[in-house]
Amino acid sequence: MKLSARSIKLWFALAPAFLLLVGLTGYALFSAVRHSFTAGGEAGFTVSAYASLAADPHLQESIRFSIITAGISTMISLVIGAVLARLLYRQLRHAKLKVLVWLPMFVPHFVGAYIIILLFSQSGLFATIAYQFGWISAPADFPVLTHDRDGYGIILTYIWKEVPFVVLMLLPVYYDMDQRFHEVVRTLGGSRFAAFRDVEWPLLRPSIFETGIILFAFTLGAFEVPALIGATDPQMAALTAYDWFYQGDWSERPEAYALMSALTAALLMPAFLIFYRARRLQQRLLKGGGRS
Amino acid sequence: MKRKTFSSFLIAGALLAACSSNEAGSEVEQDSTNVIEQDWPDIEADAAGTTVNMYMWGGDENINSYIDDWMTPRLEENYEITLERRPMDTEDIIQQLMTEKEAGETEGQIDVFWLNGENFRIAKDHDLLWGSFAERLPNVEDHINMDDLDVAYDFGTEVNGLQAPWGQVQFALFYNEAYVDDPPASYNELAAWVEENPGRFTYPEADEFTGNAFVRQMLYEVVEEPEDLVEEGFNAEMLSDYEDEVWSKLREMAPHLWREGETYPSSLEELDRMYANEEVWMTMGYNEGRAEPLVRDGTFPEGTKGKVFETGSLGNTHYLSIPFNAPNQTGAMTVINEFLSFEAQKEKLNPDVWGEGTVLSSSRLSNEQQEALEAVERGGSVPGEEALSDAFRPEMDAAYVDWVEDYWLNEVVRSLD
Repeated sequence: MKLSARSIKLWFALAPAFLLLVGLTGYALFSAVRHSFTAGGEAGFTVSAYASLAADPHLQESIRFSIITAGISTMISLVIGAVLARLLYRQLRHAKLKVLVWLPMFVPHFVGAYIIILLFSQSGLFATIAYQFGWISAPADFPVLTHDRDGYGIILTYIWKEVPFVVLMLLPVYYDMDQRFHEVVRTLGGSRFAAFRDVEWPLLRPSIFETGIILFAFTLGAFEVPALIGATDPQMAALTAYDWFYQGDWSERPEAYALMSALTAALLMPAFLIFYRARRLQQRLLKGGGRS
Repeated sequence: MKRKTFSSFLIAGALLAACSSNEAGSEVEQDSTNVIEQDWPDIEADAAGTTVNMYMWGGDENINSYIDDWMTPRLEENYEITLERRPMDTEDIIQQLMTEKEAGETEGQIDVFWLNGENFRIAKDHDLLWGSFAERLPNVEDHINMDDLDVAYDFGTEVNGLQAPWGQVQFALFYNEAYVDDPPASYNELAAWVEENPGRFTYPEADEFTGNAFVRQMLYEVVEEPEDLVEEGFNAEMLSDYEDEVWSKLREMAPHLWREGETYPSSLEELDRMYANEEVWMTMGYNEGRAEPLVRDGTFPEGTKGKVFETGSLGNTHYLSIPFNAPNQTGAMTVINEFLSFEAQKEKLNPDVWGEGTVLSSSRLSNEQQEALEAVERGGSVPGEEALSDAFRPEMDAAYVDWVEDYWLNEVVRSLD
């Protein structure tokens, strides 16, 4: 394929962003991986850091906890976000209303976590209200939803932060949707569910997968939210890596690098697969290939 | 807050990998002796009209305003030095210096920085510090004995003049008088107190600075010959006789703590918030004067009082230092010297300013100066001077910090499962 003048221009325009991305992220990743295989520098190539990860039962617990927490908050955000997008996409055409969905996006995640603490902790607003109304006999009877060992606080924070993101990711799909397909299904006697299943779902699915993997990856590697609202134990993997990284004598740095490298690799593989599949699906749909 | 976003960790990782060069080392050393050996008036003259970049933790409004509103104009007036304060956590400063060292960067950005403890040990071990400058400062010569045990060793690491003492703090508990009549004076009494008042006490996680000190300080109560803790450095053999007692005491306390010890506050700020809400009745801190400004601005309850354990209260000194690649060395020395002046130290003692203990040794002050220091009203939440000095125990080897970090989670938190 010969490069047209236009695509050369495009590459030039993208070059600074691309260099920054490769330069910082790519190089950081490269050196983290490199450090994870040198275990302090003297020994040459070694997998000892990875071996000690594999042998650490608490780390396995921490990874399991991370996956469950990230998985649950991603699933719930996707469901709520998709339902909201479906219900509201007509109203959200108005710029004023769209601002409402944009607003939570401007709140940083750690502020989001603090808001959850202020609302849901045992000395928070809801506990106080419930106590004032006599629904519970003491604020301490309010269910433990922050700094809890099951990750409710983390999940709550991510749901409220990510639902607007899901809505914004799915809105364009609804806007691009050809409404005549709905009419076809309905005139042929299909139910509303059939219209959703046969018209909307195939168009939504690529975006839902894409959004899902972004959310899952983001939550799995999350640091500040679990640091603020998580329990001392179990700990999400990024916090474990952080503690190792900043351990006073630096002896556990190779393990910190190894853990982050392993997590990154574990996320990149499914991400590539899903993006690849989503691309193909979208292309087929655009060409009018119908259901996959 | 001790923790930062994860992206900075990754970027730091990237920078860390930069190639290393050792050629610059000897040059810098030569340079540092030359500057250090100069006569003091020459140093001050050389510093005039320059800018000094001071890097330090920026999480306390009072401390920041002491530097920005009191010290900065003073330096401008007396020495024509422009002081630029840059907030950065010490871990990140060390990380940055490390990266610059490996990259052979002989001219960095940092002239002066706040340093102590484990970070000092790392900086010293990796040759990140400029040179033995402390004893060249006139105010150190006049008012500080660098051979005193509490300044000569920083968490067990010999200081060698690589950093100059800046302030001294002691570990204290703060309790709410409205709920606590008879504050515990030892860990044993505390254990009894929490049993009677379930859910009203907790301490920050042990990988957090204050929580770690709370656990570490217990060694002074448990170990039979406390002198060994300082004199012998980190002694795993001695520790093996006592560690079980430390962990079992904390385990016994756990079910009576806030949230039945299932989880602990992840930071001191978190504990402070619960104390301010009166959800718990005690908080703590590695600075006997830290509660006073918070009481005055209404954050903490009015009845807040400080208490040091009679069985020992950890005390430590924190320092100011100059990195190996400081661009303005004479400026840095002049600034540090000014921070150690009598006026600056007295101002710092004032609870409306900072409320932190001085490093000047009273034996080296004039009678008037001593009286002036005693006349500073530290406030009702600060434990009495006598209680403080009776309980003072020097900080032990930094390896004990790692020891607490390594074991606390397994021995105390996970043992509940």
